[in-house]
Amino acid sequence: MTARHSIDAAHLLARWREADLVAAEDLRGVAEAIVAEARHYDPPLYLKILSAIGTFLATAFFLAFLGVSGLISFDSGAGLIGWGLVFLGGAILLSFSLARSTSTEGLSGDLLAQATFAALAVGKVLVVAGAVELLGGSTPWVVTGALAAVTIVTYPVTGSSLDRLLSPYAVACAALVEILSRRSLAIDTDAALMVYFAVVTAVAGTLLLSHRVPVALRPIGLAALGAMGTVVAIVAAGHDAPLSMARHLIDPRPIEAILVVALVGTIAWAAGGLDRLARPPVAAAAVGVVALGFAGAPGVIFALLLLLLGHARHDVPMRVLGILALPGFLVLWYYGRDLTFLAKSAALVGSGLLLLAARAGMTFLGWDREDAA
Amino acid sequence: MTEDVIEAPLADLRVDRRIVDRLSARGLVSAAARDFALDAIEPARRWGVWVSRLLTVVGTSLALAGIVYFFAFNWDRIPPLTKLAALAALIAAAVVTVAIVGFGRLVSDAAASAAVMLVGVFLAVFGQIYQTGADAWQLFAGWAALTVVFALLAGSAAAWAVWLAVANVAIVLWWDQTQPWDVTHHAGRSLSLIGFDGAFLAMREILVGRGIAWPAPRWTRVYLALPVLIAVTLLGLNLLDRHRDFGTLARVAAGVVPAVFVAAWLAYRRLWPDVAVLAATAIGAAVLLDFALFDLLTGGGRNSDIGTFFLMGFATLGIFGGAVAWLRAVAREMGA
Repeated sequence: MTARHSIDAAHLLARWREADLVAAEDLRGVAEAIVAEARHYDPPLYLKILSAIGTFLATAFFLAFLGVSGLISFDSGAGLIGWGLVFLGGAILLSFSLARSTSTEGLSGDLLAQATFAALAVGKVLVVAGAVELLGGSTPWVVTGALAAVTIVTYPVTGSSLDRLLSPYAVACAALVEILSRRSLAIDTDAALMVYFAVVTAVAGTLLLSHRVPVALRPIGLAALGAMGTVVAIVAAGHDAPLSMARHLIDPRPIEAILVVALVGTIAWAAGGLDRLARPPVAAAAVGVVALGFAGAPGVIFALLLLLLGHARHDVPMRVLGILALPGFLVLWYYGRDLTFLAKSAALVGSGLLLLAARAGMTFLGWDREDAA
Repeated sequence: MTEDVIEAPLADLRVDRRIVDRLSARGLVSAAARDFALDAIEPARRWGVWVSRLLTVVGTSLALAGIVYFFAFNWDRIPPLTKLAALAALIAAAVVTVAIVGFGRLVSDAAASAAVMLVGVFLAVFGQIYQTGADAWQLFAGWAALTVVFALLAGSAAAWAVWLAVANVAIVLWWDQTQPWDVTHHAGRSLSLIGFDGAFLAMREILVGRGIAWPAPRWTRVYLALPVLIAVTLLGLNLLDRHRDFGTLARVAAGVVPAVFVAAWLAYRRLWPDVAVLAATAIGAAVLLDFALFDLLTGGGRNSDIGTFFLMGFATLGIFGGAVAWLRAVAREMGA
């Protein structure tokens, strides 16, 4: 009765009842909740991509219209912000209308959703451009602050999971540019980056691993995960990172240490809780991750993190990202000039042999057999 | 017992980790019930199988990448014959691994793909040492020709994936390095890729239909369909950009573009329902339709005005909103 990554609902209820884990009088309530939860619909990735391309093109056309028509002066910060707020207000009204609509799916619902998304995008672009025009592009944290402000205002009212993912990610990237490229923090860049990475890791862990977190906040967790990947890519590229992000060599060790803690924590979560770390297979995995941390290849740990998280959450796009992250990291690292090929080679061969040794150990102990007792 | 509670509403309903977590978060089931359900969905032993496969694939990839990095480090100091001998030994090791392990296993798939890869590295190194003067397209064409028999024998989807990538690069480079950059260049290159990858896609569907297992994984369909759809979309965009100087080849291409979209729709809506390929088809068609409309309204980009941009904004919302609605309805019908 168990298929891959899911179980038949009736069968699960029967097994819960047999094991006396759900009281007979609670069964109906649980069954109704399962039906209600199954109705919850998160659009699949391909619909999000289609919607995102449409929004991007529509936003470009509307911005071109506003620019060509002369309705908006791109030299007036206040004007840009004013028009941006008009669009954001319109988007919020459309969101309410969408939420009240009896058919949120179907042609009218999808057209309304698309229009809402486009109005949001135009409004955000105009507000951020206005803030930069008004306060000056060289003023620290202007872009981050403006992006954060429009995200905070619109997040609760928009139902678009894609907007909820992209906007926080844009905020995170803007903050990263301030820290690395513009040195807007008074503290040492390495320390600032470490704090940044610890914060985004904690946000990702809290929002993605805890089952008590409301579904609406999950996109922020995914955005934080994206920010983690961005930092790992910058560290891997070293001096070759874009936008002069790393004018000095970033010390990767704090990032690697945080990644190790994150991966061990994710293993414990996937196994059922921190107390499961005492079980031999889980403890062995944790020890292996710590050893891998010493190899000095953060991209490998991050790719494993994505693969594990994707597998545990039954999230196919995340698993695909994990698969792609590995060669992506290897290519970035190959061209990075901060380590010799010998050092890189040693790290990769060391990591590879460690993983293969772990595989051999699993076979020896019989942990890789589904039919083992 | 539970039958009266779980009749019609729960019929065919699957519970995954998300639903179990939500039930637990709402306090409807205990932590013990949650753990019980999670173990039922993904037993610990199945995790062991998954982790062991992950360790094999990632560990092998890293060790091989490390060897490549080591060669890069010592490249100038390694004598030419040693370089070639080392690569030949690696190819032999990969082939022997396939022969010993047998076909259709994870290890043999990895070894077969590595062998196809390493032949290309061998040719590149050979060309570097002896300065054959060959163009890059000849290297890739030779690589594809030398490995096609091995790919046929290996019967491995992964090895074919590597081979197809090599062959695609050979086709692109042949057009770019031997053909004049005139009006037919882009159309010819795109048509070649569409024909080549499309033929393999059709072959894949026929083989799977006849019960052959190795090309059956769904990713092989997506891997072949995506390049076809990307090439046809780029071809369509290029034709829109150059519609004033249509040659014979471009006229053929203008007929091929809608034909491919219709064929993809028919194949993956009717014959082999697949919402992922339909989604890629819809994305390409929507982008082309949007740019075709813009082209029409602006008379080939010459007369863009305020009204055009305004109209295009709404038209784009309509086209993509309609595509999303259609795709959502199709996905629901297919149960995806």
